Amino acid sequence: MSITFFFIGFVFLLSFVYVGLVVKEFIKVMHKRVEMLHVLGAEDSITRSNKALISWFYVATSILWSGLLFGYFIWLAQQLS
Amino acid sequence: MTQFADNERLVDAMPTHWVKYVPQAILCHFLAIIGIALLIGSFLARTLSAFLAIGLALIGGTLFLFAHHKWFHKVMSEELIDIILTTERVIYFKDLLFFSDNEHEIPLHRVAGVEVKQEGFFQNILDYGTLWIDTGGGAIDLRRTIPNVPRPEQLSEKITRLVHDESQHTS
Repeated sequence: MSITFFFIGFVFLLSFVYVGLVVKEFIKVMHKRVEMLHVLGAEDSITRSNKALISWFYVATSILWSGLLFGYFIWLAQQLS
Repeated sequence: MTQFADNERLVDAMPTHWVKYVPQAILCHFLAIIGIALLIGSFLARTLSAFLAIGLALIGGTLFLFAHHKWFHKVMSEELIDIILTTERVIYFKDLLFFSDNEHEIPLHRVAGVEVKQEGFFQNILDYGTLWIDTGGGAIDLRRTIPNVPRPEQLSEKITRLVHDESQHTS
């Protein structure tokens, strides 16, 4: 059972590293695009649209689902032991 | 990054149509539902077999998380403005975070014509289509084709007007 939990913990850890990398890459691409639009003289209404919100939503839902699943695994392990 | 001329200005900028998310949304929701079904199965199987319950929970949880990450990867890859029209060129981006970062650029002085393709019920109802920019090369080249363009007629008219203005300016 401890090996199973070690494996689950490792998978969750990997998934959070992945979330971090995706968000970092997204923000990098977004800044590049906004900079390009600013150079071209785009109005603030075009560049200011808050696309960064999606990355916060992604992080929040990832924590939520991972937490719920981890909680379920612990509960299931207690039921089975 | 693309180098712009001093007098080059933005004419229009837009993201491609939301319909691009539909196939991925169907796939991810399907995977997530299977994942949830397996998790429910593990809950029900806990009284029958510990091995079965743990196995179903692991597979279901992994599938659910996979669907979740896959969906956000798609949304975050394609959410940004990816069609930019300036007074000098048309720029189209095709990004897939970590996998591709493509930027296609078509100078307006090379544009011989613009063709709009809106085929099928959904493309006409939802007003999106494919824009083919003819640069005199003949066959349809994927680099000169922009798929899922919202209101393609309007964009086509803007490009045609800019090309016309530029040809008058140079002659």
